[in-house]
Amino acid sequence: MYKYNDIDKRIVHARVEEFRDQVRRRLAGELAEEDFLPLRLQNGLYNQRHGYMLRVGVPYGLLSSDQMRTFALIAERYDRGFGHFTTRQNIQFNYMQLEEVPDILGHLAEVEMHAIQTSGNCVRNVTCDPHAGVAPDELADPRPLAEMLRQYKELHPEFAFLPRKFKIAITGAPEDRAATFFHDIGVQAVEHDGAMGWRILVGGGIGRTPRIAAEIRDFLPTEDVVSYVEAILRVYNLHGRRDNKYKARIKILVGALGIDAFREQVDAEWEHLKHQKLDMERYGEIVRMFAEDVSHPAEAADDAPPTARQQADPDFARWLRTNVQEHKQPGHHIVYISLKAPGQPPGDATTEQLLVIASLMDRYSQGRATATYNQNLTLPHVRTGDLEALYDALVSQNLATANINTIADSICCPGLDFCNLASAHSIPVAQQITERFSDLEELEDIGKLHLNMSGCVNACGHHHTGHIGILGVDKAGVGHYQIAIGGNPGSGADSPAAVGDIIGPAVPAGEVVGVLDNLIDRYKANREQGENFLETVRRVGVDAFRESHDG
Amino acid sequence: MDNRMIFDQAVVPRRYTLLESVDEEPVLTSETAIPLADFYELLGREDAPSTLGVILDSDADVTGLQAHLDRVSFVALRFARFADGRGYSHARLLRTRYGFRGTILAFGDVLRDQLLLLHRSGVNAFYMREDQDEVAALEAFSRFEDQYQFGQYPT
Repeated sequence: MYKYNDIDKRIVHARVEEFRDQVRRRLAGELAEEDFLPLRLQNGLYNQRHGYMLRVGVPYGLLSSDQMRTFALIAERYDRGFGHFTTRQNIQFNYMQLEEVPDILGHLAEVEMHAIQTSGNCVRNVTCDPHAGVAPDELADPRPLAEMLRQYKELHPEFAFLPRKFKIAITGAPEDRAATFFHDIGVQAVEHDGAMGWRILVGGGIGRTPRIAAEIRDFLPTEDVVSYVEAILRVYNLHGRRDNKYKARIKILVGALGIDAFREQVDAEWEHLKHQKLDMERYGEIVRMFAEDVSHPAEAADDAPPTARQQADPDFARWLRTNVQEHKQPGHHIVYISLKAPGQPPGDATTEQLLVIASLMDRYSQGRATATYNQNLTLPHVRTGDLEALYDALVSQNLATANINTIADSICCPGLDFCNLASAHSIPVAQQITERFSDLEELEDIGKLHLNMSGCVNACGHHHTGHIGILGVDKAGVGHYQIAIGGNPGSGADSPAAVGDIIGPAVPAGEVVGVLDNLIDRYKANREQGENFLETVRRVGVDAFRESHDG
Repeated sequence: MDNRMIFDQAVVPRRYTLLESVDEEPVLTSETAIPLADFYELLGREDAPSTLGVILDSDADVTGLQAHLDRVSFVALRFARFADGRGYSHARLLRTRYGFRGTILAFGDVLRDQLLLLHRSGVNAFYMREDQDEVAALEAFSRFEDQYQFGQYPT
């Protein structure tokens, strides 16, 4: 993975000291809260229901075991013993004391991490496919480009006060595990006449106004991507709306102008910038840093598969089918660590779990893990011969629930339990759902189904893109839940990105599981051989599912 | 404080006059700035000084000003709210694309914690908000010895 050089280290340390001074001035009353607000936000610090929440950036979702141990240290020493992984591959800690945050950022800097620009109206963490570097279908590893973009955008003086937040996601594989169609900028690896390059999408988003991104460039060589992003950022900074925060995202600007007029403006700007080619020598160095993680022993291909256990232990066999995915290297696998055990808040991990995961990373996955868009973790480099031992270790920590990509693997925001903006609770409803759908045999029969839930219209749980999406709303002080189906974060040509359709009036919390049962029954009654939920919805139409909502 | 400014990273007395209108036939010099619309109106007049300061609001068309920059002695960027980041793009365009070498002054809601960003965008003079301490604010310029953009890395 990327290793900080002296410049990275000095910048991150200087940033910690800068924030330490700002916190000191804030506590001394020299800095008013409204002036402090953007400073703390751009250091990852929100003021939530229980005090300060710190969001730590995990660039492109890639973690070393030392970084994981530092999360455990923060959870234990400064928080209440757990951290929460987010859809943007970051981790959040919920009970921070302001005066301790500079020390926490100091701990993070020691392991080459920070919280710079994880919030605020600036360019946020650049996210990537969690299978980056090991996906069998990958055209190019997206992380070197994401790292170049990280350096480009970090503390960029011109773009610290954009009209609104700005999110970039990159996928190197045609199967889109990074939701690139729902980001301000989405970047996808493509091949044109034998040359590798990147397709650029712009103006996607969720929130109050869900939008599927439009293509602004069908192909750009690697060396031009950063300057093109700069052109987009400048047009947005100058022309994005600033009169209404709900209309300030770039999707509104792109929508108002139309993609063709927007492209014209960006291209005119880019004419002045395109001579700024990416330093391809430096890019090559960074490519090699990531490639070093994937130097697999060839003899792994000869590892004996765990056939005996597979036959004797149906739970293990199911886990292999559900939580273990294909790796580009023979004899290796991507193993999912499920953070969705029944009854557990989705995406949470305790101090002990974080520590055990860190040692499993060292023992079985070359010291690496990734955080995923679905709020789980992966161990990306596991040998066939280690699967059995790893499974037993994960089971002992309640991290091996065989529910990856099933209805019980829900994406969920913190909701009213933690968040000031929320209209309704989301975690308790998610817990009801994981408890209802805890029969692993049933889950496997239902198959692939993304369920996403948000506690308010800001859509941090990406409910618009769930195959089933649930939105919490406040009806006269009581949380109700609006249910939609047919959304899709986007995963390739045969399964395009889509925003879900609402199937009926919102229901109280106690009725959500009943509605889901009806939807599942309807799916089972309609599905054809091998067809997953979304495919059935697409084929028979949303209306066929509306009825089930009434019944 | 009212009578001080930061100029090229030093605290000095304020030397520029910023006029919100030119109705009363004021004395205009190269150290006086007037609103953009008034500047365009004055350009054609014979008694206009050869160069003048121009006040740019955050929604100003800085590209339109490019053709007249030979008549501009300094640019005063108004920050009505520090969170409005358009002035940063205006400063960068003036410096990097239009080759403007005169003073770029930031005034209004200008706070010490944004000084480095403004400086790196091309602003070299600051009329800070009145509760700000210019001398204490100078430390902003020396806090970071490195930067990711403009040189060490592409773009």
